[in-house]
Amino acid sequence: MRNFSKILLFLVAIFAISPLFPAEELTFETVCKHLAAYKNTTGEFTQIKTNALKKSLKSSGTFILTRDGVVWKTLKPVPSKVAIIDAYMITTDAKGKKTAKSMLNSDTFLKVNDIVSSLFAGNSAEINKNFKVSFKANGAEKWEAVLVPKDKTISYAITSMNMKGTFVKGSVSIFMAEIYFADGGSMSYIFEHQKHPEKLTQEELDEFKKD
Amino acid sequence: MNSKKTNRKFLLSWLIFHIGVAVLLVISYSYENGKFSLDSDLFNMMPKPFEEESLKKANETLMQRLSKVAIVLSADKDFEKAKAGAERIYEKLNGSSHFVSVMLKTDTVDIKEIADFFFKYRFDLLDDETVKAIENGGAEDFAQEAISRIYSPFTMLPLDNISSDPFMLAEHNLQKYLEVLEHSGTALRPKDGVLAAEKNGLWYVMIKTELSPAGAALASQDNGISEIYDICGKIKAETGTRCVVSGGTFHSHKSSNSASEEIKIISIISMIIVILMLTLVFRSATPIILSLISIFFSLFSAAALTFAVFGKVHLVTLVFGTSLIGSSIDYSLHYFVHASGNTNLKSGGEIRSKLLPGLTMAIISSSVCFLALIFAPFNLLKQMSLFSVTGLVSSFLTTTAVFPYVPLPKNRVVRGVGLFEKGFALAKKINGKAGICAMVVLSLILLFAFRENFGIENDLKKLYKEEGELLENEKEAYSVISYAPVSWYIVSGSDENEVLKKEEYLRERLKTIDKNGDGVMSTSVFIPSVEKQKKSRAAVEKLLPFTEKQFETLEFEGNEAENFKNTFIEAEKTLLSVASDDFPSSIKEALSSYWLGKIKDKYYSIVIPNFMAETKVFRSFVKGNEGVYFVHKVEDINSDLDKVTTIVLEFFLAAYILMFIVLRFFYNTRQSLKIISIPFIVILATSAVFAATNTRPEFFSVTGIILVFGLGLDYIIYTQENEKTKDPVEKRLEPFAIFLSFFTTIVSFGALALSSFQPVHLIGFSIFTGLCAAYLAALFYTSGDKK
Repeated sequence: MRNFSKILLFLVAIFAISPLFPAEELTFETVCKHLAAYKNTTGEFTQIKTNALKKSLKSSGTFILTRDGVVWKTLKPVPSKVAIIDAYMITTDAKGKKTAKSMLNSDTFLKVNDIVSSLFAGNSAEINKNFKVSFKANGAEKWEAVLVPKDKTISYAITSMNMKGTFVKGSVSIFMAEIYFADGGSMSYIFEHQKHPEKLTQEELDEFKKD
Repeated sequence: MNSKKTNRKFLLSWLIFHIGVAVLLVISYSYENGKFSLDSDLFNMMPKPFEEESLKKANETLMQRLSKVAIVLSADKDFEKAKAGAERIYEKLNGSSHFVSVMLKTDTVDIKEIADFFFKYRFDLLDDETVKAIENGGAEDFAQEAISRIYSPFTMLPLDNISSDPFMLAEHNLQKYLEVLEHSGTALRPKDGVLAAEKNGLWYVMIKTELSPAGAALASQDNGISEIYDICGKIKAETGTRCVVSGGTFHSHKSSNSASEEIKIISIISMIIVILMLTLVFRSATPIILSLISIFFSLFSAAALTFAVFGKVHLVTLVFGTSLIGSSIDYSLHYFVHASGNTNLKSGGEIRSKLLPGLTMAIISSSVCFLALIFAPFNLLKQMSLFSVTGLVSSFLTTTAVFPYVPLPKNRVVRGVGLFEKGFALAKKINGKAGICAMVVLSLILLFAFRENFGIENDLKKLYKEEGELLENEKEAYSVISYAPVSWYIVSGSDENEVLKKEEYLRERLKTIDKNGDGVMSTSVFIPSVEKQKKSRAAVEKLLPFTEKQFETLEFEGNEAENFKNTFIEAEKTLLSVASDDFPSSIKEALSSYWLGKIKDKYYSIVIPNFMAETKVFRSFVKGNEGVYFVHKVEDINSDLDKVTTIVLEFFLAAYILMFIVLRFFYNTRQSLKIISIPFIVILATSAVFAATNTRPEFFSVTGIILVFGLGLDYIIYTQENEKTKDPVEKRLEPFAIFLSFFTTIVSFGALALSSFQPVHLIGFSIFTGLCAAYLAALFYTSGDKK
């Protein structure tokens, strides 16, 4: 009984102190910090490419995002896959034919790759270096960020990027991204069924193989 | 009365000659639209390869373009600072009349323009590999790949034209084009709107400039390179960001500056020594002033006629021209030694009559030798030849036509004759024949002892040594840019398409030795031949049956498939050609480096391999490939210098024989043989000195020797002329006049030998050595006669 009282007292004390630690504020840094904590992200995507004439092309598939690379696997309407790892772009066509191309000579590609990686890895310093960021919290659980490239090489192709996400119970996710191109076209992504596994399955790891 | 008439005749010749030169200069100046210029480009003083006139012109066009490119890298640890430095340089140079183009920004590339180009010619630009794959049943695969491409997150071109390009041909062609470009050109890549590279902790931002004719006028103080150095100096002082420069034009600027400085120093030193000597000898301002007037007319007429004939004169011609001071003063000296010291001659006319045979023989021998060079297939030699002959003729005319009008001095004394006679008496004691034999034997011994150093060798690298900061700059720039083509092909054809076809054939052959797939840059990379474009269309035709399915997959509703097929038929009218000039500015800029266009009656282009291989392997592709020529800048110049050196020696031999024939008209066989033996002794002695000093005779020193032939013969001719006289005063004065001539000439040529600019140094050194040998031999021949 005495012991029970002690435990109860301890719990009361804990609850009493807890208001001293307020709920985490939703800022761009918070979003980045939580994104950075994910070693891997997997999920499904829907891509809508719209040209300047407003003709939309919809495709869908799955994606794997790790700290080392990304796999973009289109399943509909025509299967294909693009994997980027170690500055290599590995494309697989509908018939399974793979082509690995070193992108080491393409600084623009490396730059874009770095930026994309920094976005998904939540590297706020790198993001702020490359983009002018406007962050808006819509309530406590939803957020929206508009990123305008600072680098002229990038801004020549991309005018801005719009990302929307959630922050629920300490877990951050991006559910939508829109990229606006300088030529008037755009590309929208909807991300669903996202998971953040500590380790990838062997099948998922095989998606990164060059041959 | 007769004397007056003769004087007038001479004066008339003087006036006709000098006014004639001035009139020619004015006519040529107006004909050239006032575009006389001084050429200080290092490569322009080298012989140009190729016999064919239009090909020679094509190569010259290319060399001129290359020689005007100046690259500046703005270097700093901080990219932003390096970029800011580059932007300052760009702002300063862009718009300056010294530059035709200044390139810094990469964001000026108009993507829409490129997209439009690749879309318009989408049916014509498929590469060989793709054409082959489609021809071999790969059409369906290609169509499916196009769909993957359309839905891929990574596309280069906008999808605006998808209904007119359902197979993504424009995207496919652009990607292949970028793959080619990736391996070509510099190692710098676009970064924040500029071309940049990081190396050893430093950021380099590149500015590529092309100098305008005004900017490339390196002989003047106000030129493009000075402007670059000026702004770079300011940036370094203010921000610490430094410039790394690269390009032949910086080396030309450096050598031109030092050559210009040297001209000043050589001229001043020569002039001071000559004036001092004349002051000591004549103790009167008149001979000095008149000699200077003679030099002025000599240099003016020489430069005027050379500019009038050539329009553009190389700086080395003028450097060499300073030596005219020495040779042209020879005539004046002979005149004034007699005017001041020979009391037997009562008037200027009598002095002229006394000197005329010797001076005439001297100018004939000199002119024959110099004029021989005018037929050499090499502009620099032609210029030197014309410059020297004109200068000497002017000097000869001034001496014989103007000086006799000058009253003779009252007190006719020449100082220093006594002192000279003492030395001359010592020389007289030497057995002349023994002296000549000693010279020959000593030369032969030296030649034998240093036989390893004997032999003609032209090496461009030895003529201009990159050194100091500029060398460090070149090394650093190369480590960053990793691109400095030294060899290429010139392709010619009767029309544009023939050139493109030959290029494509050559590229195919080069592919066999291109192990890393670095590729080749040429016009046909951007503009395929008509035949290739037709092959591309034939391949696209195989895709047409898949059009309906393509649009169905893309969820298009309507008659897009039919429209697309009609577009394909209509597009047949729009084959791409260089003449159409219908390509984006970025391709136009690239083509400006490779397409030389129509020159005379043929079309020319350049093909540059992006990889290294043995020269003989590159050359082997020329065999059986008519109209294709391989150019290796340095190797070709070396071998051409060897050829020209041989030609110069052949001219020398011809002039030698010609001189002997001319001499036989004026002298007996013994005297003629004596005179004609001088060049032989000169060559022997100079070769021996060159061997002993480990200086390989090359083009410039051989040219020097042929000039010695002209100048050195004067001494023996004067000596022989003096032998004829019985007048003791003349006998005393003439050797002194010859010595003074030798001294003044050797002073000016000796100064040239001090030049750090190798071509000038080598000419000066060989003339100095040769003249010494010629004078000594003439002296020994005289003492030999006395014995």
